[in-house]
Amino acid sequence: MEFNDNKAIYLQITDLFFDEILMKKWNNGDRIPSVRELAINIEVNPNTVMRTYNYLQEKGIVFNKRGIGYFLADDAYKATLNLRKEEFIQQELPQIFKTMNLLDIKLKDLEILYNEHINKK
Amino acid sequence: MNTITKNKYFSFQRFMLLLKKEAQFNVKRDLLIVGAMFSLFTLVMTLVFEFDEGNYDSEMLENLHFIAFTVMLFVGGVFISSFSFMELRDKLKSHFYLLTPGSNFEKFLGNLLISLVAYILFMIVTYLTYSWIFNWIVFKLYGLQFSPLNLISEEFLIAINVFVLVHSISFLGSITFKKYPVIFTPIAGFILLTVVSLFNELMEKIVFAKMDLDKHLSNIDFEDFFGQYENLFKFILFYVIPIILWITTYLKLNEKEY
Amino acid sequence: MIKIEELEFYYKRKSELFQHLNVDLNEGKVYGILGHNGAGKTTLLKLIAGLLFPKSGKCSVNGFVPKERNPYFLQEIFYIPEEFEFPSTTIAKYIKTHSGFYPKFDMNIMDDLLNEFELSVSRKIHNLSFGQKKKLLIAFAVSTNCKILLMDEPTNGLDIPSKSKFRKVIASYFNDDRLFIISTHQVRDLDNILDTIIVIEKGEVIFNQTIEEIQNTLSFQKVKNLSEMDHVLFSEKEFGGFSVLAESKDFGETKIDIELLYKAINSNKETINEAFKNEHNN
Repeated sequence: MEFNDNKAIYLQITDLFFDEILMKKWNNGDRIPSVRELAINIEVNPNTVMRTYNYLQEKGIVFNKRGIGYFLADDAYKATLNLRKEEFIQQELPQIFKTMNLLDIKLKDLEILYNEHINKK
Repeated sequence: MNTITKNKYFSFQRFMLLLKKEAQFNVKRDLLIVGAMFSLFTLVMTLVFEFDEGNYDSEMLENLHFIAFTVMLFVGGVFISSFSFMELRDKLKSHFYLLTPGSNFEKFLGNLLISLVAYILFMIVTYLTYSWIFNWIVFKLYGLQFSPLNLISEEFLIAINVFVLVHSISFLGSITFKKYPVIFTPIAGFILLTVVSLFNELMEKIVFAKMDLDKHLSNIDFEDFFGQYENLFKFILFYVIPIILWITTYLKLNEKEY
Repeated sequence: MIKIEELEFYYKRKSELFQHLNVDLNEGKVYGILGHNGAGKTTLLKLIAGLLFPKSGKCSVNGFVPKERNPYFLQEIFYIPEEFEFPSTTIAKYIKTHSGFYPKFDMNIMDDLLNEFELSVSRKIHNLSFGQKKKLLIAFAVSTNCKILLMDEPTNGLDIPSKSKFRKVIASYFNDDRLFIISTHQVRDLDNILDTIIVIEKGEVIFNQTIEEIQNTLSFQKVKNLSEMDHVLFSEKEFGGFSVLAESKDFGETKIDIELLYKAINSNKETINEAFKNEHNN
């Protein structure tokens, strides 16, 4: 797998998890790949992958059943959603606002564009 | 850890693995050398019998097999013992050899066993078989009767003893020279002998110049002198020197770097 | 597991390679050794394997002195040199005659890896390309289940899919009891597979940090103008701007650019190591 982002690799792997959870490919309570499986799959040192798992465990998104493996928490979806929202508001939104300012795009313009986008779907 | 099952110098199991590996990759070459010698000898003898219908004196009839056996034993032996530790002379393979999980002692012993003990036994058995067939054919075709190879003669034992000495020299050469030990060992031996005899000469010319050495020497009965110490000389030459050279070879293997 | 203290080594007495080499390497890590040509990367691997003997100082590996070449030491260490030659035989026969030396050799792993690398056991080794021979040796080395695996430029001669497979192999078979050391110029081939970076220069270890520590300490940024950033530790001009190395505490965690890090260490090791000391003290 290619890591194009400038984010730390363990955080890029975390994003991978978030995508799977938010797109409901992985659901609450599901068993998720082991550290080793994921490491092989994305060709990353298992210790780095372990860091992702530790991070997600800290955030209460995954938990470890000793001797069985890792599972998504019962409220993994909600926790992920909150985490990503926070990240979006704190990191991505300021960038967007900055660009909007530069290009003189008003909030109303954005609303129109947003509705168009939604309707297309 | 159990010291009986965990011996870092010798384990039978590891030793067998090493022998198997040697057999797989090196013994083929040794067999080719032996085969080539026997073929050459057969060819020469065929030509002799076909073109030279002259007389064969009793001495030749009696000694042919001993001479042929000794020449082959030595020629083949020098080649085969020089080919010991073959991988160590190949820059692209020597690390594999050094890192093969066997002790230096096992590796040393394996090479010694193949190039000395196994080789001598193999040559004896092969030559006996060969000479038996040889004698039978020659008798049928030409009516000549060659004496069989005599394994219990004194000459035969001395030949083996001298071979052991020669082996120990070229075995040491095989681990000393990085290239072509089969050429460099004899050269080195020749140089060594030259130096020793020059040294003798010098001693005679300089140190003993004032004495009338010839007179002194003529007073010594050499027959008697060597006769007296013959066994000691033989013992040193046939047993002490080979053992010292083998030990040196082992120590050199220990010190081998890549 | 590997402890090197005040090690001295030279090929020729007049040009010392290592004078006071000190380094500790532990199991559970994949070490990447970087350094210029002639810095001593290969020599270090050979000293660890016992293929070269230190002139003075201490070298202890897995509780053994490598120089002694104790068979129980050799059973737990495998060295993949940059260049090598196999005996002329088939893959199957090679495995048969050599696997027995390694008590933990796992034939299932060997079969899997030969499959993965598309090598059939009936092939004659001398008919293989260099890359295929290298894959065979890597497969064999991994199958021995040795504790210590030393690899000198392992991705040299491998095609792109094989490089990817090589990373998968490392990720699969590396574990907490094993210690892998990879010496390399081709950092990009091994980017995310290493977890400790060691840089040697002029016979000394001038840098030795885990990826996690690097992540916590250094930030790798790209900027248009250098004036956009304060506290720049190192910068390199590139198309359309600069690649910049700064401290994480100022700029956040980023993906590690090992090449940039390597250049930074070579140009100013004191500043870089200072940053790690500061991070440690915080």
